[in-house]
Amino acid sequence: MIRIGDALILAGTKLRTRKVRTIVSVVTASLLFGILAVAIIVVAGIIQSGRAYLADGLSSRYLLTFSNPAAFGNDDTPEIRARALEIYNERVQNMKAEAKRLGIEFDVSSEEKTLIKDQSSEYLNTGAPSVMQAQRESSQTKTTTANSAETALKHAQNYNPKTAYEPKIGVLPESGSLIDMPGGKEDVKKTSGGISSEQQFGYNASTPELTNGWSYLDPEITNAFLLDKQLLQTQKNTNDIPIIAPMSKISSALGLPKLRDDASTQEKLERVMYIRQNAHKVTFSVCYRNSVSQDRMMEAARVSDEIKKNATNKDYQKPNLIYDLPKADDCAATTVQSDTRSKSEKELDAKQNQFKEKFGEVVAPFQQRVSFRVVGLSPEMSTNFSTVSVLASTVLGSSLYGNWVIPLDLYDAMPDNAAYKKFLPANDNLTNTPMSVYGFGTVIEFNNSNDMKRYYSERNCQDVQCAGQPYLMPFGSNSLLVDQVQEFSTKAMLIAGAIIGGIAALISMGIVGRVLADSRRETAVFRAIGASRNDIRIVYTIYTFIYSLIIAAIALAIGLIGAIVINNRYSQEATAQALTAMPLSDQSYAFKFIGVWPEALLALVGLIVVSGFVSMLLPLARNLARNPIKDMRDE
Amino acid sequence: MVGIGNNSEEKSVSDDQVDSFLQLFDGDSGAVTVDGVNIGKLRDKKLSRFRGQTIGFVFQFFYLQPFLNLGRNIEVPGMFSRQDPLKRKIKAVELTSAVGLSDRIKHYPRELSGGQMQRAAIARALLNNPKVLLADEPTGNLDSVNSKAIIDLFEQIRKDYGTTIVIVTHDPVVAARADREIKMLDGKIV
Repeated sequence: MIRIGDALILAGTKLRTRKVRTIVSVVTASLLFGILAVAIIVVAGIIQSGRAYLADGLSSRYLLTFSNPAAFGNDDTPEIRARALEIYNERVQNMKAEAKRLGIEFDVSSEEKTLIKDQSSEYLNTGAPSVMQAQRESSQTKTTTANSAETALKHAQNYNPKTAYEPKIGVLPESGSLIDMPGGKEDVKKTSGGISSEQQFGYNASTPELTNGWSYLDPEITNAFLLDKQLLQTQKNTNDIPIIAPMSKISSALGLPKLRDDASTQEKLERVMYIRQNAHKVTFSVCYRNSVSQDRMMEAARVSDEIKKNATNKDYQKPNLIYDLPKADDCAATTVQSDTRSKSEKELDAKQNQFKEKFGEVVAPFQQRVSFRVVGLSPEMSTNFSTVSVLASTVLGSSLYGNWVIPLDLYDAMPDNAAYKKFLPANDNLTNTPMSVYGFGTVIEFNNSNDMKRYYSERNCQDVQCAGQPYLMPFGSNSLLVDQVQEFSTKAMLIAGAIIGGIAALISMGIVGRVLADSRRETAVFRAIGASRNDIRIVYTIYTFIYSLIIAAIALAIGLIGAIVINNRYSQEATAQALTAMPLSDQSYAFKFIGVWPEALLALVGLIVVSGFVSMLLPLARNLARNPIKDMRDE
Repeated sequence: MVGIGNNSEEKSVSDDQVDSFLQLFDGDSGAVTVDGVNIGKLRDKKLSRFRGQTIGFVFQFFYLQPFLNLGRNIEVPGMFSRQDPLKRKIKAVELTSAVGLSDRIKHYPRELSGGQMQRAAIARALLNNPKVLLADEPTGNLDSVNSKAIIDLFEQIRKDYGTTIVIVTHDPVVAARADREIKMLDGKIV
């Protein structure tokens, strides 16, 4: 059998045969495989960039939210209706007795009935105190357990969960509302005009307003979103509530104009850096007013308007009790402008209030300025829909979904938070809790991505047929998504590899087959001077191997060059978006589109070599089966 | 020894002779004994080795490798017979000198004349010390001067190496230089 070194020498002569055709086929095959190489290097860069960013903060952890619809349950059941009616009857009886005791009149129709009837149906009057109490009683157990850490851990018990964190939602007591205080001042006229339903119930989409409410979360979760400690230590207003705020709100509070859609990458980077360095200076305030406080504001404004309209009307009778709107704009109480009630009227009013209070109605106005200082950044989804921006923010979306979140440890560390006790978290979702928190249920943490992925894929179901079952969402990091990107990319490249390999094999078959066909005479001469069929086989195998390696080298070079071009074009934009998505990341880190994926690159080289050999098999078999005498005679 | 015919058809060998010749490439079709070896029983590997070591071939059109220099071309049979590369190289240098091409050993076939290429081909055929040299119209593509030089070389080889040289030619001048002449007409020896 011919030595490999000698076979290399003879194979080398084949490469110099039909140079033009060889070059064309090498270039064509290299371009095809080069496309695959570009894809491998770029995808590897995206995944490695994602994982590098994911090493920051929450993103290196494996977290899912667990939301149990059973917590909200069905608020209108026969049992609730029956209980509500029972409570209603009890209340009415008690009210009659109490009214009699106080010597005041009681109109039964003033107590809201449990059902509202229209032409075709009747439904629960959810505003009626008896219904609210019945619903509260019904959900009490569910609320405290259905979304609890214990329930979540039990649901995930077969998947080795590490721990669970229950977020708590801030309560708005006494049917109150939160009123915006831009620049720290309340627009009294706006408040006295009535609170919009959006403000009251928080239906603001995208980034919620602070008036929608806030959540309280464990430091294990919130630490990843806190500003630099040294910056926080410079804050003087330490009795303001510490809060993690959405980036866009901080930007507005700092007086920064909205970035243009076509803002350069450098401008975006500078914006993120500026916010990061100055967010600790920002404070926000909201004015909490309970229903009585709001009602008095509205009445004060109404009566004031009425008095002005009837200034020349001699028959107009002013009310006995007139309130003034607050003079100050810092969430102050209304004041009494004039009280001309008689003693008996005052006594009657007092008894009425006593009666109302006894049966759960709020009678005293309450308002409080609630001030916050920013201690962290809550990233938001990009509104820039360029492919690169969406890619970067999707892959790196370590997020609190743009919510306002109070770190529980920092809240407890306030010098004096007693004044805010009314706003402490509770699990009673039937108080007037604004719907502020998106995607938050209990957060379950796993030790590794495999357990998390198994749990997510095997126990998560958001289809209609799964109604009523808990549903899961990735939280705080997209490590799951990055893994999915890698899995999807692998599958996609296997398919692309098979197709491209097939096409390249056909192209190679053309040139290799041609070389072999043209070598009939040479083969005959070799056979004459002592070459066996095996020697010929070895020479052409080595020729095909070298031919394939040349293609592989050029394809890898094309891949690298292509990836460099893509990286130079998009890296900065992706970095800016990545920092927007993860503003507290190491700012020196760049999002790159160049990465190393050794297994995929080796597989690519293997594919090229295999396609070369496949292209050689048939022509070589035909060549070896030929009669060399006949070939020489034909030549 | 020379086989001679007036033209290609006349000097073409008979079917039996083709079969015998084919035996050198395919050992399955019968009993042909060469140098005491029944080549009809040999498989491809052994037959190829036998062929390489027993018989040297010189072709009308030289059939040198265009991308190997002279020295390497002469070494090619040694590659297939798995000769030691150093010994092979030394032998190639000797043969280059023997055929008068020492100053051309690094040259490529495209840089050689017809006569020089044929001499190189002869040197190649002699690398494995064959007992028989088969030359098919070795002077067919050469002028008279080179043709004489080639025949002179054959004589020298026979003297120096004791190699039997079988030449197929239509040139009576070449035939006249042979020790033995076999004439063929219509595919038969006459």
